Amino acid sequence: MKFFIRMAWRNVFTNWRRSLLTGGSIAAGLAGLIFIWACVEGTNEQMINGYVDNLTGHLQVHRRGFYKDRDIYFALDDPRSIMAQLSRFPGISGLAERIEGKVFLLFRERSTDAVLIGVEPSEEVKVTNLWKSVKMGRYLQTSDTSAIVLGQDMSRQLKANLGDQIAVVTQAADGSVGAARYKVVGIYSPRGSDAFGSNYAFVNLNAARDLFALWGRSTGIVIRANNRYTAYFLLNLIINMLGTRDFEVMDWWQLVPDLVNSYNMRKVFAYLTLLTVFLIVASGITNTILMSVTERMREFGIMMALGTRGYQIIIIIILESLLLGAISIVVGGIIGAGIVSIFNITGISFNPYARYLESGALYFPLVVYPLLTFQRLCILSAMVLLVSVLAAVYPAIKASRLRPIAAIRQVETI
Amino acid sequence: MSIIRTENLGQVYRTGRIEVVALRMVNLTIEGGDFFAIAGPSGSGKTTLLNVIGALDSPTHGRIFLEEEDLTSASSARLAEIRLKKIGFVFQAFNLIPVLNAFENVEYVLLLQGVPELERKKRVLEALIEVGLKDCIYRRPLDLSSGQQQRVAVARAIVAEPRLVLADEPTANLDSKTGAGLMDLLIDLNQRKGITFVFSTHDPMIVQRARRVAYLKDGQIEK
Repeated sequence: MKFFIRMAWRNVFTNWRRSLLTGGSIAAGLAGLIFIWACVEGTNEQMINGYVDNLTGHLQVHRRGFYKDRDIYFALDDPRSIMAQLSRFPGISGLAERIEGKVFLLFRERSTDAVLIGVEPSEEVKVTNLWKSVKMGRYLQTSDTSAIVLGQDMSRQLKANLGDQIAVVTQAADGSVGAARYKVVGIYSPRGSDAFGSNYAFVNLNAARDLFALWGRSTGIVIRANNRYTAYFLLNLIINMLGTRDFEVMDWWQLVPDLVNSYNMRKVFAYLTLLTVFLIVASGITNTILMSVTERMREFGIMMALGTRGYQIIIIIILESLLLGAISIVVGGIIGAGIVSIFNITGISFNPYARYLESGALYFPLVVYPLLTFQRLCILSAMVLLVSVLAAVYPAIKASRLRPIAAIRQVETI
Repeated sequence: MSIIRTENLGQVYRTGRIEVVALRMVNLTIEGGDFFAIAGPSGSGKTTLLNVIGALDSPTHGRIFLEEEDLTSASSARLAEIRLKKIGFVFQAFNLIPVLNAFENVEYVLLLQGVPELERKKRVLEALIEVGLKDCIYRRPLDLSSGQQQRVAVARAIVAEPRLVLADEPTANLDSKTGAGLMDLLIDLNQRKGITFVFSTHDPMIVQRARRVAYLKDGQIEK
């Protein structure tokens, strides 16, 4: 076997042009697959993080019946005591009270409906990062009594700028009409998905309590877990503690069903695209390896004439393919990961297509930051290596069955 | 005991509708230790006969026996084993493995036979010294002259000490001086080691040096 490995190694490097062609196609194929998958995953991550980090947090606790219509009649009566209980859980890095309700925003002759979210700024920074997405002006401060932060799209829609006074009208929890005027102090535009930028406006928690007549109460508690993947386990623990009779405990997956539907739909299309590209890459690799083995029929004929058994010919061909494949996936992996790293910093702008991407519920980020994990790099590399080896199996078996003299004369081919 | 015996051996090649008869009713017996030439003009069927005798190709009819074992009914695995253990080949175009150096080309056959490393190295070195190539054992085929390449091929053919060495026009790609030197070497190996040599040639000078000769014309042995 050692001798065959040495032969395979020398064959790869002696016939460097042929190896370059075959190895190049494997490396390029892998780099392409890495880049495409990284774009898919980057888009998905941005889409999820856009919501989780800026808006929903990982989990939310509401009074049962609130979330479906964001009905403020279903507010929590004693949110502070629930927060005190939750604060004892391990794996929670932040808790914040919120009031969320539907409102009507007016500015001069323009108006729009929106979800107004009342937050306590000092607590909110522990559960979401929206303050980082404020592009103009500033985020809310605890001392603000009549300040509002709008999404960029919403401010465009209303043609309202920093310093403008926005009127907000809603129906309060006591049945009265709630109305207030807020000064625009900040305009936010989250990195990646800005689909929710047109739907949500933020004010201080106490200002929202006044508007909705929810003094001392909240509509929900936002929870941030240590990481997104432990949220599901935390969800079950909290459900066990609070029960489901009076409360609804939801993770980010349930909080944004449109996002999840869009995510699932795009995932199917993305994986179909990935599969198509993979098949194209696989057929390219198969073709080059087939050509490479066919070219060497005479050499295999000589080896058989000397007494090399069929299975030994198969081992030699597959060893070469494995070796070339291994070198190529290292090169392809480095190139692919390198390209992903560059675009992970610079991003890939889809701004020229913004008009099409922002429509509907696609939630497609306008700047995609490809994302590659080591696990995915390993999966793709293993798949491409497997294809390189499998591609050699057919010509290897055919080569092993040729009559030696026919292979030497190259009158028979695979 | 005969080492090779053929019975009504025939070989027909078909290319589309065209049939080419390469061998017709060849009956031949070669004794062990012989230095046997198959002579004839180009296209007479010399190479085809050698290929069939060497189990590189199967005849379309007739039978062939190597030490009384019927090659025509042997499996491809058995034929590979016979080629490995009983027959050595010297091809007209040398047919060395390009990525292996002279030493490794010779070693390859012993490796396939599973000879232990130390013994293998010793025997390879002996074979290369035997053919007068001890100074260029680590050169690859492309770095050797035609004569040297053919000597490596001879060393490869004899290293496993086969009963039979088949040489297809071994001097055809060599100049006359190198060709004569190679024939000296083959005769010497035949006489000292008792290896049976069967070679094809169309060169009358080479034919003269054979102990026995069979003349082929249009695929048939001339009386």
